[in-house]
Amino acid sequence: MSGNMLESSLLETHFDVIPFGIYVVDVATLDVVFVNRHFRDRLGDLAGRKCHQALYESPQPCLFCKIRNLVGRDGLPNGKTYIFEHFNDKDDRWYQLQEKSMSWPDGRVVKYSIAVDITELKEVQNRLAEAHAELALKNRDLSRQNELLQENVRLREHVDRIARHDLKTPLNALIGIPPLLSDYGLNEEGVKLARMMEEAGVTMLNMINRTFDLYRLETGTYVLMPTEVNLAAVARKAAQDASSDVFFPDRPVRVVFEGRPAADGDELMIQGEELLCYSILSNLVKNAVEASPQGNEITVSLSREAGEAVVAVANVGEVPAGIRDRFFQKYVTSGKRDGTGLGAYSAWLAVRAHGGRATLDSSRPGHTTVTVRFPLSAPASVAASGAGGDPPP
Amino acid sequence: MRPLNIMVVDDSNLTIKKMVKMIEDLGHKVVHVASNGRQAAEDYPNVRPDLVTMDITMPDMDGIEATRRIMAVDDKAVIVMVTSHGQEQMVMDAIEAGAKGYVLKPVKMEKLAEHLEAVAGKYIP
Repeated sequence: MSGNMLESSLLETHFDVIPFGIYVVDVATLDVVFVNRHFRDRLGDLAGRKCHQALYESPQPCLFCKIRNLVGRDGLPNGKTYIFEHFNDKDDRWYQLQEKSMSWPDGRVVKYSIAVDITELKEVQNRLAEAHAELALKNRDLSRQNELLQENVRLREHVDRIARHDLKTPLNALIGIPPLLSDYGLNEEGVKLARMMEEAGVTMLNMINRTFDLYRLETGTYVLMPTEVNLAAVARKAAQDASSDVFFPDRPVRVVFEGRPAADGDELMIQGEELLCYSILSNLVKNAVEASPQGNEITVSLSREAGEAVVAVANVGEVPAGIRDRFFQKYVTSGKRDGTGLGAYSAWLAVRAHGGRATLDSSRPGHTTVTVRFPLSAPASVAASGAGGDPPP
Repeated sequence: MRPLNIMVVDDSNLTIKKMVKMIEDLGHKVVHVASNGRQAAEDYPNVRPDLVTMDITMPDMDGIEATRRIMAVDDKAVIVMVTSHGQEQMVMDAIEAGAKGYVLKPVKMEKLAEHLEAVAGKYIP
């Protein structure tokens, strides 16, 4: 036996006792030079065949082949080692391949690959990757559904806007004609009925306009046109209107200005819209009147605190514990026969549009105080654009 | 699930053989086979299969680019990636390209049936 043959034999014996698959390929010709026992037992003796054909049944060299990177420009081993994972279609197994070049005893430059079967490990990894893919696919579907939903909402809002506009058109006649009827010889009772028709028309017009404002406040498209507003005067008007509600008699509303009864000439000026401020205070006072037991007073206190105009509406009676955390949220109502759950919510939206905030205090047993605060300076332009998040507790 | 007309795209003859056998054993029909992404993208408009199984690493054009091109001509195309690549970025790229499913090799009969049923139930009328 020649020296080369002896060396080859020793090398092959070493490779044979290693418990992983090893194959050796001629770098120049891609012929398989040697396959160790571990692989021979499974794949047969592949020596002499092209590696891509023998191992992967591929007529061309494999796309992932690293063999050219294992030798230098001179064709000699460059000492680099490549380690990578590969799935073998032939036996449906995953391998970690460690590849390096060396000089074979017969003088040829060869690449040897040590292939460790990592199929079990990859099964776990692959299950994880498939779960990740599943999640990403579901996210994509959800995102598309969300886009569709938003489109439907936009469509519905568009139809709502058209409906609101169309509803207002016939009201022109309902509101405009009754004042003219007295010229057509109506008796006193007829004029009274015509007046009732006109008032009903005006009420309906206000309701339609209010829902439109609510929609714009909700969607952040309400553009606030601020002017000087005297909250003291607005609060007194709201108090007067609410206390004259025939359905809730004997619930006087007292307006207090900086600790004393409010009077003509009191001023608590903010930058805002008077109608919207009236709507806020009217809603809150009306809520307080309706929640208050007969014979109890409602107090509206006005003050300045730390650069803010503060209006606190207090009444006897408790907000049910179950809705306190959601008091300013949409459709939250309790115990009121005709409650829509929009009063406190729309007040909160309008306060937010003014750059202010609203809070509920139920800490004193048997009593409720709702406080709204407005900045004394001009509200920032973002105030009406939906900033401020969800209604607070 | 009704029998589906399926196009198989893979550069490995071994994988194609296995996929064709499994698909036919599951009662579906392999209507076309392509061995690279470019061929798949070119052939798809004429074949219009119900579903495509797409490898990712292929010569000439990879499966992700082929998926993009197919989706560009048919945004309802149902493409399931059948690949050995489980890296997060690869998964995301394939899904962003429009893949409706992602299966990692080795693909066994049961696993393929499960994925085909899920994808067909969701996307194929």
